[in-house]
Amino acid sequence: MSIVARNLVKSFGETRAVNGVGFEIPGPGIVGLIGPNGAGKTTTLRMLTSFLNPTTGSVRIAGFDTVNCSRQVRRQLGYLPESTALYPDARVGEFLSFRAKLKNVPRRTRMGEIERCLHACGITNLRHRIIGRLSNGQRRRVALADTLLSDPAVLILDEPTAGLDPLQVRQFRGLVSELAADHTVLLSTHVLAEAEAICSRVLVMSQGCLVDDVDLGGHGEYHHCRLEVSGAAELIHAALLTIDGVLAVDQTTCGDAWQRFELRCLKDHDVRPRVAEICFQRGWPIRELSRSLPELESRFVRAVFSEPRKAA
Amino acid sequence: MSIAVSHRDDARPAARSGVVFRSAGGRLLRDTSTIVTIAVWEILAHFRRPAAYVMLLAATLVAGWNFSLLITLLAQGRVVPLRQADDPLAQFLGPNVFLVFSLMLIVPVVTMGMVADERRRGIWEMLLTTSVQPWQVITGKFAAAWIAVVVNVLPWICCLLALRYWPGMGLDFDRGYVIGGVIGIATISLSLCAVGMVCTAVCKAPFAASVATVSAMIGLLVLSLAPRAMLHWRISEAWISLADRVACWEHLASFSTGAIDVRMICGHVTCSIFLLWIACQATRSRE
Repeated sequence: MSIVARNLVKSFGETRAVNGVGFEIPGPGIVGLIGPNGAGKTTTLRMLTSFLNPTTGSVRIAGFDTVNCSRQVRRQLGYLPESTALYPDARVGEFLSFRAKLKNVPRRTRMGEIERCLHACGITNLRHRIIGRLSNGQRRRVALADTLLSDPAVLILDEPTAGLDPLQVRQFRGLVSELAADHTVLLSTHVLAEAEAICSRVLVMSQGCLVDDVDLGGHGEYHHCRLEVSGAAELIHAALLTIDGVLAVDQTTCGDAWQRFELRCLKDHDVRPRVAEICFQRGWPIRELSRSLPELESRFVRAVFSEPRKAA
Repeated sequence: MSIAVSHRDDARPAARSGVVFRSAGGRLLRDTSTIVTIAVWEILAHFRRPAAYVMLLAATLVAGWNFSLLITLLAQGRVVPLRQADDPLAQFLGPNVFLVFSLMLIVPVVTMGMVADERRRGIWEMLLTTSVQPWQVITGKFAAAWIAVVVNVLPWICCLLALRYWPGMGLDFDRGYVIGGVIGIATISLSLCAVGMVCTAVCKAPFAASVATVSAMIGLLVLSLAPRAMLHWRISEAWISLADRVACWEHLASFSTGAIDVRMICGHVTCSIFLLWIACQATRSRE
């Protein structure tokens, strides 16, 4: 297991910032952590990085406990904090060299490692520039290059695309997707579209609790189908439920004669041919029939506004 | 001497103890290397800022002013001083008003941002999420602050060295004034920087840290006057002796006469270590 968090609680005086959060991230891939402001995302990430000790509960990163083996944990992870904390008077190359020394990158491989990270973040040309004179996006990339130094197995990124322009966001997503092949990436974000675009799984936090665990990569037990069809809603609903592999059907009206149905189906059952056949036989015209991922936004809203519960 | 070992293989205990020593040595080396890395980085960071040179220039001007007064005093001819510490040469690297107030400004300026500012900007978090321990960061920053303070006091030392060794015009005075003064300033600066580190670790904002450091140093200055006042008020010798031990400006007066007291040096080193430990605990409790 790359990251195992069990029943994490963090209290600041009377305030409980994180309340019983637990999850497991088994291996390489990108997992998103989303939630409204004040949900406890940053505090959770800080506990994962061993910067904060949990009040109760435990975290293991690559098998090491964050409280008892914090040094080993920190060697395994790269952390990009929410604020781009850099030394404004230093040059990019000097800063990365300093960070590489702190991360115990051996002297003979240090320059090569810095070069690799600069190249990965597309900032090789900024090596001799003073950090204070860089744009926000460039600074963010420098911070990301720092995170990648020493090639940590686990990357924890706190709102990594904040302050980047759309082109940089796109490049960043590409970079993170490449890294996800052999790194465990946990990123927190406010942008649901970003989570949908790059994450295979999303953890939803609200009021310090983990309220949902959404599988976006189709790796779960279910998949979803969307059908827009015209006809008597009750008859269609009943007919769809008779199809083998369909577990549940949600119906919404489109505001006209068309009805929209969301079908929750077993993972290995592609029900679309059978749905089309039934509709054709009964004379119900189809406007849309597609396999879809669960809508993160609706699940997020549902999870956040529902009573907080512990997902793991 | 024989050592009883319960291992079956005789070669293994020796090998194991060797491994333990190598491991401990390696760890010590790594810890030291991290502290040196942080200290070097902080010194470079200090001298990357134009403010560092403005401060150095100001210190040079004050040293020059102080030196001109010394020359004036020396030009008046040999006057028998009341105490050895009142000798103008001993005063120059001793607790004279120029040096004391310069240190009271330099130390807070150098130390105020070391932790408070970095914590505010998020650099502290960035530092502590690598395999670095808070005590290493505090020690590295303390070493850098101490070196920066000593560099800013260098103009005073250079003035006295110039007076002693200027080709053809050098004044042949006792080298003890220079050596004692340098060791005294270096020793007192240790404690003052450690006080600054505690203040920056405890306070939220750099400005608050600087105010706290200045206040602490004013307190030390008042304490330096205390032994004489206590003697005047006929307070018990035990209390006077206690006040003497914490009166660090009085220690500087003693060093500047050329009297190097190892116990005093050890006392300041111990006091600095204790203050740094407090600074570490303060940073932890803040997190």
